[in-house]
Amino acid sequence: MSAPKKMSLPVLGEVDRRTAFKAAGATLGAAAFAKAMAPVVEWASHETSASEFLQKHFKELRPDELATVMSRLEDEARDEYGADVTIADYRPQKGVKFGYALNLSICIGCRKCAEACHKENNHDRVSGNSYIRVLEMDKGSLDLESGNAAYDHPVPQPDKFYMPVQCQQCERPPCVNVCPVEATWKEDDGVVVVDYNWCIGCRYCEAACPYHARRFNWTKPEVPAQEVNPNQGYLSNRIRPQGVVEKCTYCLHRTRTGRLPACLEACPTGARVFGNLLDPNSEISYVLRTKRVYVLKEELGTRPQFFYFFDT
Amino acid sequence: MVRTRRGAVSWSAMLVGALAAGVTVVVAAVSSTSDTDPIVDFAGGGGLTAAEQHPITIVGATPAPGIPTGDFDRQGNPVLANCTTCHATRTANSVTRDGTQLNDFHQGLTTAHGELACVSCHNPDDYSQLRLASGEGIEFADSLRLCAQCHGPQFRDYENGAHGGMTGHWDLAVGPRVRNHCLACHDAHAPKYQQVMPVFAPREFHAHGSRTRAEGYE
Ligand code: HEC
Ligand code: HEC
Ligand code: HEC
Ligand code: HEC
Repeated sequence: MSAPKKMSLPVLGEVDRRTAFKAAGATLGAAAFAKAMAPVVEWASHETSASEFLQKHFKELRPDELATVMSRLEDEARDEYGADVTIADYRPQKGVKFGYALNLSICIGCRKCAEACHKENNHDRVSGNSYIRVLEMDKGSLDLESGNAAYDHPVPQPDKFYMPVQCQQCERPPCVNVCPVEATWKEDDGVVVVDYNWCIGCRYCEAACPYHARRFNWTKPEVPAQEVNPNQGYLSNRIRPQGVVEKCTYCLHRTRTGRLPACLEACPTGARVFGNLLDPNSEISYVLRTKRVYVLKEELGTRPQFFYFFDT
Repeated sequence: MVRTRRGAVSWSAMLVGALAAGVTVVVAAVSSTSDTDPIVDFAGGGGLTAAEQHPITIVGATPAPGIPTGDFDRQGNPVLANCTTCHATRTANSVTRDGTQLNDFHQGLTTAHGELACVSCHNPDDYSQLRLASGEGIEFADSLRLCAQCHGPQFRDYENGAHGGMTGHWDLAVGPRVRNHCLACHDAHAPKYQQVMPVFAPREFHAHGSRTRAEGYE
């Protein structure tokens, strides 16, 4: 095992898991390293099967190898959750780049999108996790950090507006760059994905995301068998192991088969618009062409592919 | 069914209700049985011709509203009186523009839709119909055209899939799509979207503090 070419994160070149561990230790100092890695180490020692640890990086797997991995994961879902699931590897479609827009004049803050995400993506029932956080904001402000997510009164309130925030699928995703093991990357249709079997749980990506869009699985997700969504993607909504980071994938197991994301279908107000940015006749292209759209924290240069607009 | 729509019922319940009542208009399959062109002309679907696209169905329109008589049929559905039952023999009152002006019948009808007179929408010559500003009488099932004539910007957005929501497929080359009629969300007489109680209160914030950058590795 040779020493990594560069010692400072996040610019590791070709690395494998073990050298990445070393490199991280070199940068942070032993104590910080141990603390940062604690969840991983614990998880790795208790939960990881030998074959899992030996799994090659997702992108390097041959189709037959991947099929073996997915069928092993299906078996695990049956053993651990009592659910018959189908895990498939949905690939980006040629000529498709996804864009998502949300009309802030229409959204009423009902949180049905967050709930639908929770169910669709097999989120942990105990923590009530969801990739969507709906912020109640004062009219006239677009400051993400001042939003309140814990409101509990009839909506919409007259002096407020509501802003659901999820992964912005940035063109320049800061979360991808900081990953020391390349367990997360951006695919051709714009979706930023995580290989949960490759993620070491260091949470650098979570810290790097300016939109607080990534989530960490502190515990093994609990989902009752009858509530498990059996239609699963390897890179999307399959039940994640403990100790890994997860994120919104625009429901790629749905959207890569032509369907709409679960959060859009659940929206009772019609505030959400989704589609192919490369198709000039698509609904999303219409929005970008005819509305004044905003992106969050534009000054950071992340170039989100998630847009907000108002009906003026 | 008509009444439940006024309240803050969930959208999926409305959709199911509308489907159960068989109230669907298949727009993409509208053949020109009338002389007028189909009013809804959807975009989307990667530049395919209409023939290669799956249909878009609009749910939530009422084909012909009626007035509950208080009786119920064998299936337990309310028996409705046609509008013309009474109105065929009454001269329309063209100045009525507010529910509070109704004393003899339809008491309690809430109106909060600009300052419109009832007959800006209802056809005074035939109350089984609506009427456009042009004077053309249209069926209740076509009420989308009525909304469209006064709400051009929203209708344009709607046509382009940017108002009113949808379910099904973003890619019409792959599968069909279901859309809501304006009336699935807006009461014709008091169209403002109703307040609701939010669902799914967040829990994670209490469990692990706010997961912000500040929390980091501390
Ligand atoms: C049982 C008899 C009855 C039925 C059925 C009925 N109406 Fe009426 N309607 C009346 C009466 C009586 C008035 C006048 C009320 C007043 O001015 O105090 C009225 C008034 C109205 C008005 C106000 C303008 C005007 O001409 O007075 C409209 C619009 C109207 N009705 C529409 C309808 C529609 C649409 C239906 C069917 C869904 C319907 N009505 C069914 C009895 C009826
Ligand atoms: C903006 C257009 C518009 C105006 C103005 C309007 N209506 Fe209506 N009305 C409709 C439409 C559309 C329906 C069908 C509603 C449905 O299918 O949900 C309807 C349905 C009705 C019905 C039967 C269903 C129900 O809600 O009870 C009555 C009665 C009625 N209108 C009376 C009136 C009266 C009285 C006025 C004036 C005070 C009035 N309307 C003003 C568009 C209008
Ligand atoms: C004859 C013209 C006319 C027709 C037909 C009409 N509207 Fe309106 N609508 C108005 C006016 C005027 C207003 C009030 C605008 C304002 O107050 O600024 C309005 C307001 C609205 C609003 C905003 C309400 C609010 O309080 O925020 C909605 C939603 C709406 N209409 C929906 C509809 C729908 C759905 C239909 C079809 C059933 C329809 N309208 C038919 C003229 C019309
Ligand atoms: C899926 C639900 C839904 C459908 C379907 C829908 N709308 Fe709306 N519409 C809303 C919501 C939510 C708002 C924002 C809240 C409000 O002002 O009532 C809105 C706002 C509006 C407004 C008011 C805009 C303003 O600036 O006040 C008009 C007018 C309107 N819609 C017309 C229509 C018309 C016409 C149709 C059918 C072609 C339609 N809507 C279909 C949900 C819907």
